[in-house]
Amino acid sequence: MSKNKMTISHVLCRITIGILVTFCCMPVIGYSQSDEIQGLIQALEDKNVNVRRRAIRTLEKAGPSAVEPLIAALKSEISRVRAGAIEALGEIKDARAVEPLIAALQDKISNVRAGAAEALGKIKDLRAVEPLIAALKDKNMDVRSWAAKALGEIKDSRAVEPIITALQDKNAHVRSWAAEALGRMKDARAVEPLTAALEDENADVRNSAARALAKIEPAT
Amino acid sequence: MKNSKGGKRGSVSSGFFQNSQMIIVAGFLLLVFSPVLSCAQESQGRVRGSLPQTEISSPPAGTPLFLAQKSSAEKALFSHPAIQEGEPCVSAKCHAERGTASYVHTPVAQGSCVSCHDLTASKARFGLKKPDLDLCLSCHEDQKAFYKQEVIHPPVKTDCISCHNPHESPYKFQLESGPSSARLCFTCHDEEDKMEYTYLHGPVESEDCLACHNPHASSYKHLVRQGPQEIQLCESCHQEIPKKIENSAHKHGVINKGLCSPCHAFHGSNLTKHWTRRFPDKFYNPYDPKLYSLCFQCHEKRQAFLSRSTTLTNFRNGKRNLHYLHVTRKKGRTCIACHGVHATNQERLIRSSTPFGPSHFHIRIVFVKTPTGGTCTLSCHVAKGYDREKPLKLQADTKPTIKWKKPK
Repeated sequence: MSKNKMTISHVLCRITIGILVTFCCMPVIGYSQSDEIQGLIQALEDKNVNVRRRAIRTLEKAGPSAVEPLIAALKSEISRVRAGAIEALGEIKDARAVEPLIAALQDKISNVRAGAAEALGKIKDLRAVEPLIAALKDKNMDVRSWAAKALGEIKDSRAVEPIITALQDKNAHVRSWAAEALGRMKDARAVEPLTAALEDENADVRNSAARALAKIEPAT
Repeated sequence: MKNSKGGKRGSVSSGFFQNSQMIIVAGFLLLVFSPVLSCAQESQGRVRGSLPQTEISSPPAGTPLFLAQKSSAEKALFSHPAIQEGEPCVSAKCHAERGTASYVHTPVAQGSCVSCHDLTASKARFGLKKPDLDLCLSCHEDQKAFYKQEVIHPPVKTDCISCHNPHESPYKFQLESGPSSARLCFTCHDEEDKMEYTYLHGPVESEDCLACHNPHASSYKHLVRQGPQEIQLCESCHQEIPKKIENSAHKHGVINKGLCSPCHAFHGSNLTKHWTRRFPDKFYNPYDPKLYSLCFQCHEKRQAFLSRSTTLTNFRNGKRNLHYLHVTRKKGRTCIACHGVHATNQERLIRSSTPFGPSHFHIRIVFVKTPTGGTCTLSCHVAKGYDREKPLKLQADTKPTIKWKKPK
């Protein structure tokens, strides 16, 4: 009996201590993961672009657990860290990142702003529509291009008219990507401006306009 | 009995404590090795060809695994899951995303992964047949010419994948970033915040770094496309400048040296025409030495604020400094009122005509140099002369000799 009692108490104690040890170790394991995420974010500072790219790819695979540290990294003073964090956030596609990415559309570095527009296009959150429409007027052509592309991915009808306006952009890349975006949105309002874009001086724009028109069904 | 009982109790309790100690020790071991284990767990399925768990040396906490392995990269043996003969690399199950972008590397488009990867024999990273650079150059032989150039872009020396995606990309030449070339360049050259100028050079504004810089190699500093003189690069777009210079008898000193950068900043500036320093571009300007900082970086600034001199300038009537007379006053004439900036046909870089007033009438200037002075005749006022040795009196009675010339 006493042997049984001892065995039960023994087992109970083992379970209790096992649970305690597990609880002790869990935060440590957690810390090590967050430590590694922090290490990866630190690797975004690296001068070597290949190191940074591998860090971004690894952060993407870390998934939602990396979102908060990556959002924190958007406040880094080093622009390549901010750009890297934005790229990873765009691939993770977590809705928590939308507001910080919208804020990043105002970054002083164009690469960061363009990255933010690209990432918002991947997340496809409707909150980003108005800020992206505003980004169509950015002074940097990469930002304008990516804003047009992102709006084409989100496919919100509010963006059709501003993208049609972007078909008149002074930069051919922007016009070309605006045409592609209109093709993706398949809105009949774009038919006439896209037809006009078939006369564009730039071959890429004409190609994009033709492809876009092929995607849009004529209004009945 | 007591003893035995006690002994028994003792043995149970000691056994229990031994067990619990073992658990605690196990816990400690888990504590110590948890970072390594977690790293190993994270590495599994992430970095293809990662080290087996037993071969992982414990990196400092927080060090990304691929960085920890960097020093022992050769140990990171490539391993690919076994595949059956004839099984395609790109299928719904594996590498499904390959070949979907706008610009695809030819071997990828042809499904010829084995052109670069050897899944069986090679133990190199990603199972590459050769080291990165050798692998690219084994097909792109024409690119070997870059290595004969004097200035080589550092990534070109080590690998191509810093800028080009080896598989595919949405951008021409499978570039890693875009759509502008500047976006890729700024990935490493993150100096964009230093280029926040009011007036940007055209190619900078259109984000086209490649207009001036060769991305691979060049014979000239800063990987510029033309050289060896700066002006040769600028002339490739600003074609009006060489024509003007060639047809002129007298050239500005910096132009003679083939330089543009002392006056114009290449990327941009907060001043119009990308001037490196302040420069008054009007006909009249109240004298302010700061306004002339562009000219005074080479020319003696005392020319403008010493009314008398015997050495500072040759433009003097006796000891009277005529630069001071013209410039240092409320309605001061600026440098460009009389001097050309690039090249002119008259001595001392005096212009043949100068734009004047809101309608930019061109006033003709005729300057005649003498051994000890000169004469300046403008269509707006009488001819005036000066002599350093025998100072002349103002010739107030002389009438203008040149008629107004309408601008074209």
